[in-house]
Amino acid sequence: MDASSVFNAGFLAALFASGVRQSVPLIYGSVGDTLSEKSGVMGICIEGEMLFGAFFSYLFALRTGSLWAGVLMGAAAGMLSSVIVAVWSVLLRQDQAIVGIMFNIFAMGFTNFLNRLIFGTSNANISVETFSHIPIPGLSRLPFVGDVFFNQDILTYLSVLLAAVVYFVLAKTKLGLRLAAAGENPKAAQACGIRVARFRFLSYMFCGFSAGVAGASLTLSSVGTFTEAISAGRGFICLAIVILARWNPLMAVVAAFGFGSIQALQIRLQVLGSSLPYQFFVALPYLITVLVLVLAGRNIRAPRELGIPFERERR
Amino acid sequence: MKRHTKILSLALTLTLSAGMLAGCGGSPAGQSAAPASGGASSAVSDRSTVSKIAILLPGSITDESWNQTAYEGLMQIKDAGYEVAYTENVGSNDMEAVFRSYCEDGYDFVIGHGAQYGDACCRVAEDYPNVNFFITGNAPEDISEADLPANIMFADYRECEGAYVSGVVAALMTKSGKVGYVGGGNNTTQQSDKNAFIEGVASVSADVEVKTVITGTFDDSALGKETAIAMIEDGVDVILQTCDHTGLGVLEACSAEKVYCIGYTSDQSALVADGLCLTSMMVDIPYMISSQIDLIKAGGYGGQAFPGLHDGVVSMAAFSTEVSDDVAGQVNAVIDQIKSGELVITPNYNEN
Repeated sequence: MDASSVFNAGFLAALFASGVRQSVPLIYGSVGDTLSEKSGVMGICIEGEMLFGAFFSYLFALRTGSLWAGVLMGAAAGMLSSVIVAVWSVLLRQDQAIVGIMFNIFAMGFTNFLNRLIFGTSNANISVETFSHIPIPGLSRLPFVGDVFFNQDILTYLSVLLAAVVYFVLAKTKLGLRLAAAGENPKAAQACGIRVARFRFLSYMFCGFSAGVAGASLTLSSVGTFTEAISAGRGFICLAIVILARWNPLMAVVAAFGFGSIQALQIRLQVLGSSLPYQFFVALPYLITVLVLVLAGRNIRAPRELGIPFERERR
Repeated sequence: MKRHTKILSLALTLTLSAGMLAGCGGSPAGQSAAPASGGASSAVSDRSTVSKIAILLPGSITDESWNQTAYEGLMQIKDAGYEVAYTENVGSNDMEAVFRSYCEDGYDFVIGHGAQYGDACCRVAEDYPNVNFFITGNAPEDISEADLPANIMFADYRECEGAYVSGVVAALMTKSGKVGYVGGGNNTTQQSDKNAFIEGVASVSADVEVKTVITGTFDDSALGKETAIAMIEDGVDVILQTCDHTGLGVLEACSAEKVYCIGYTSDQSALVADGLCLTSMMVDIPYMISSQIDLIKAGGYGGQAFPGLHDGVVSMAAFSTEVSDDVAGQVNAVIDQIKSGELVITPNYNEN
């Protein structure tokens, strides 16, 4: 196989365009998780919240005929389900990892249950029209990058916008500073009059909101229908992306794009044909994630009180 | 205050885990009358009766495919008046435990839905000689035929015959000279499907190229869609998928990009617009499962069977309007050859 004839501009543009499509749910998940981790709450539950978002966005898009109604209800479902987690881990101060695992199992079972209750186990798979691609005038005509970045659907553009807004809030505003204080040194924050529990609760709800949109992007911009366990581990990849991106939402966009592109690459390598066992290709994105974490992860410092429940009375 | 919240959260945890457990099974509680394990009660075990049937499924009963059809087969048995139960998503670490718990609960016919349950079933079957077992796949290759427990029936059904015919269809319908196969994982059925598909294509033309991707998952429909898109970008214009939920994403991509596809397990033509789903390779799993009851009653249940196109367990769905009479005629000729035994498709389990 001649490498130069295969890896031409058309092939690469298609590869990176697929990388962008596959990164969208990861961007929403990791941006939401970045904000909530900054305030000290780990988003282990985004996997489950994505499932809620995916199911309800599909349900409402199908019943109302409006994709936007679907996205909104998906986000709302993600947010409401995150309230359960927030009550548990922030107000009742339970171990966030255990609550997270419990919640994810619950979310999987519960969305399956609702799916069967509402749609039954019949063979009639009903799908909705997915979001159409919106070429950005001018930019979409640029060679190479035009097709990759500026001919995507609306949820893709919004994901980058959301990352930019969260970056701005975290880095440039008083609100961001207070949020970080709740995650770095909640006692000092409390002494300054910051209501730590409230900050953590609300930032976790934002994480649920964002994970809900991530789920909606799976059903409404990719597949057009809900299938059980559709999140397929993406919530956990988001956690790795947050660490890789060192709690910087803009870097999270880059890392998610990297992961999506490697996923797109491994599929294409299989299509091109190879004598290597397929397991190598399937594992490739995860292998590279682990490698990058090991190699580039030396001086990574998480928010100091990340995952530690804050108790107001404790001295 | 602190203690109070702990109790509250413990209660929440218990409630939720109870909910999870309740979702896990259909077996009624209070069945303490387990069969005498070890066969101590009677030297000659009578296995020609059946009353309670359970099935272990590798996935969920809504996948419109492999698991759902097994569930339908089980429901047919239920409608015939038997007591049934099922457990979904039984992975390799739980297989033996789930087999044993059904045996202990008095189930006298336990089915493992897939070749991957063979090993665990062999370990369990010797401890419950009065229970009949059925595996919907080939017997473990590392156990010699003489050492297989007598109370297990293996249906090494020839799904690959359907995959071979699908290969013939794909090769006759492609315009670009490139066809694709999307698989889910590495069990023997999947491997023999892939290899038979390649053989079927080659039997029509040596010039048609086959592109294969194994996604490694049966659940990720979004990944399935991206996989199909990558193939279509490469010029593939007919795709066979054999991967349940992941395959639904493949069908979605074919529908959107106006490319031919071939369905799996059940007739999936309704899921794809404009007759693009040329046909489906179907395995009549409901029949394969429900017909076991009669075999048990006939006595001497166990051994290995190889049902395929000939027995009606494997079949092809009606062709879509896109398939010309000429092509349909050629395909039907191949099907007849396989049915008559003139053409023998040997399952090839090689991974590459």
